[in-house]
Amino acid sequence: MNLDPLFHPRSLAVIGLSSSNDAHPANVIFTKNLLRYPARVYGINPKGGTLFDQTIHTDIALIPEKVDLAVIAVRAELVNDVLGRCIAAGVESAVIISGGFAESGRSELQEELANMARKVDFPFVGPNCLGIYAPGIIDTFFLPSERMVQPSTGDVAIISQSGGVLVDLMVKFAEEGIGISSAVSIGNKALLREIDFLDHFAADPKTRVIALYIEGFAEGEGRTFVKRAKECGKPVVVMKAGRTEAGGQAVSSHTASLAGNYRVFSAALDQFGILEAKNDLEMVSFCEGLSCYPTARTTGKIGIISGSGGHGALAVDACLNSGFSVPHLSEPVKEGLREKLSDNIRAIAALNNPVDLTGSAMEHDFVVATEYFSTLADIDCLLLLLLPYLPGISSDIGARLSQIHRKTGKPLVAYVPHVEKYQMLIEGFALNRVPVASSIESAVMMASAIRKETPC
Amino acid sequence: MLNKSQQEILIRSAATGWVMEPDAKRLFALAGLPVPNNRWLKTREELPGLDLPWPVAAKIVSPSVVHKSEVGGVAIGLRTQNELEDFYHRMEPLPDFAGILVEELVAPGVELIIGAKTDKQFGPIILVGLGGITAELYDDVTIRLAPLDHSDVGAMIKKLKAGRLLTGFRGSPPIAMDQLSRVLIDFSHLVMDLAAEVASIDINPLICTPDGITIADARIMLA
Repeated sequence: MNLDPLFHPRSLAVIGLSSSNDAHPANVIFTKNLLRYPARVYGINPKGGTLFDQTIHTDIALIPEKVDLAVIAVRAELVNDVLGRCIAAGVESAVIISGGFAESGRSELQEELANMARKVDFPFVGPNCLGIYAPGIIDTFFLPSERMVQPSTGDVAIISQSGGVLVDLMVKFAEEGIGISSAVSIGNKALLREIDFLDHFAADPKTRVIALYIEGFAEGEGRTFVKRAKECGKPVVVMKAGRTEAGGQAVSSHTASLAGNYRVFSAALDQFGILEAKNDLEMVSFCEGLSCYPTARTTGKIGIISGSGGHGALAVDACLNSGFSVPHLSEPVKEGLREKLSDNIRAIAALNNPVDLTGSAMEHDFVVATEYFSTLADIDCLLLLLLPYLPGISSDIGARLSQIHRKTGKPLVAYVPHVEKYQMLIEGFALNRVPVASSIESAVMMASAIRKETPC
Repeated sequence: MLNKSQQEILIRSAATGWVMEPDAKRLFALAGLPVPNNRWLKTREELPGLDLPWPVAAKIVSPSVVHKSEVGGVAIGLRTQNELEDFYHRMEPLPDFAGILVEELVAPGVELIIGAKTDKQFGPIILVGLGGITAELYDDVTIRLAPLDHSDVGAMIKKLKAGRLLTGFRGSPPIAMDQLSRVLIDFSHLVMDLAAEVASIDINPLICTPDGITIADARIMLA
């Protein structure tokens, strides 16, 4: 099934416009795409009329051009008929926003839709979903534009069973400055399911990382999913709901008790090299780390460069708790570094790992320390705890340190508090594709995302 | 593929919903898995003819007794014909008594639990963990989708906290790792063949020593 028309429609029909309610999902979708997106947009309502000076067509068959994507937002009982008309009119794909299917006990109605589409190889998303968001191209979310937080164009694709979780993730991605290629809320996934979108994004040149929020799989589907995810060649991150087992069930064997549903799910992800995010901070951090370094893989030997002893100590704790090693520096290595530092800190900097350059450090000191660590074979990832308020550094430091990564290829992860005041510093990293975390914990998660499982 | 004898065991166990230990062990033995020499003695008259070296272990066989030790249904180290007969007499009144399973003693070693389950979303899975009656208490287990290969087994043992008990801990010699690996791989293939009929399998304990690996107890719950 070709999913391109869903993500790159040149023409869009919105079916189910209301003549009286501007907050109706169809009206919101119609308006935002008409006013803010490039696709040619057509509204449909059997009563006709006009909206924003556009003629409302009475039937999909009357639209004067071939429609790439139909957004269906009519009552559940009418969806079957509308979908049939779309297929008959030669529409290429659909998003079914309408609820009232399997989630409210009407699985048969839903199965009818899937069967109809399957017969003619017609792709649709939903029902009971928000549909598709592709920055600058298409947005079928029935959320008012002015209140939707939209991440920039980037290379993470998000697939989510829940629309609410997806919108929330988009807020967090935007906050962290992580761009997305596309996002899709799959709702009841009557026809197109996680695996279909995984395959689509695996082949999508704009996508480097595939992130999923999954509630559960159909019988046997999990096995196919993990195999495809491993074969797809791009990093895959999964956040799973339902991690706690329903208690009190009589279990007949030790194995049934010890290998609960979530444990098996988690073990299967691990076995097939899929990263599991246990919460949204991990989700966001893993995606940012992998988006910047989709192919770099470290063995987890971290070098920490800090402008404060406390930050260094907190980072060591976080690293060791996450299974990293923080190798000691030998005396000759320490002396080699000391020679390069500026006079005013040479005597006071604590040259261990972590290196504490102190609050008196100059920008030069961060640069030479980062360069020096980048040459050490014993260290394969650098954690930079920059403290943007130190008097000796400038807003250019992010860009300057990023150049070292570009020269040596050794992955850098930076921690800079995400407030507007430090935006220029953060941008210096971001423009060079060096990930910047808003907490030490998140920085360590980013480093974890690019660490190889230790070989057996 | 299951052979005819294995299929027969599953068929005759269907009514009880689980495969009793003598049948489970026979099913495993037919798949080449290591079980102790054993005899299923179903009548008093068969006791004198026992041809296993003393001492022996004996356990109750009854479709109504899933947890044998809870009814005092396990005796380890019976030394004489008299002790064996005493045990038989004690077991005979228990519900649905179907004889006793008499086995050669297994030398002590590291006790693992080896389990399998047909998971709804992922199909057959294999569990390996620290075994014995405290398996659920310590909850030191690792899980992979079946079937397993050598690298899977290595990764699973490595993830266990108790893994070091197997590779040699505080001067104890390492257990027969190659054989353990072979057992797990063969077991995982058997599990693939059983996936449609079986809900879960417990092999607990699987006793691991430097000299070999033995399935000391086993239970198969049918789907």
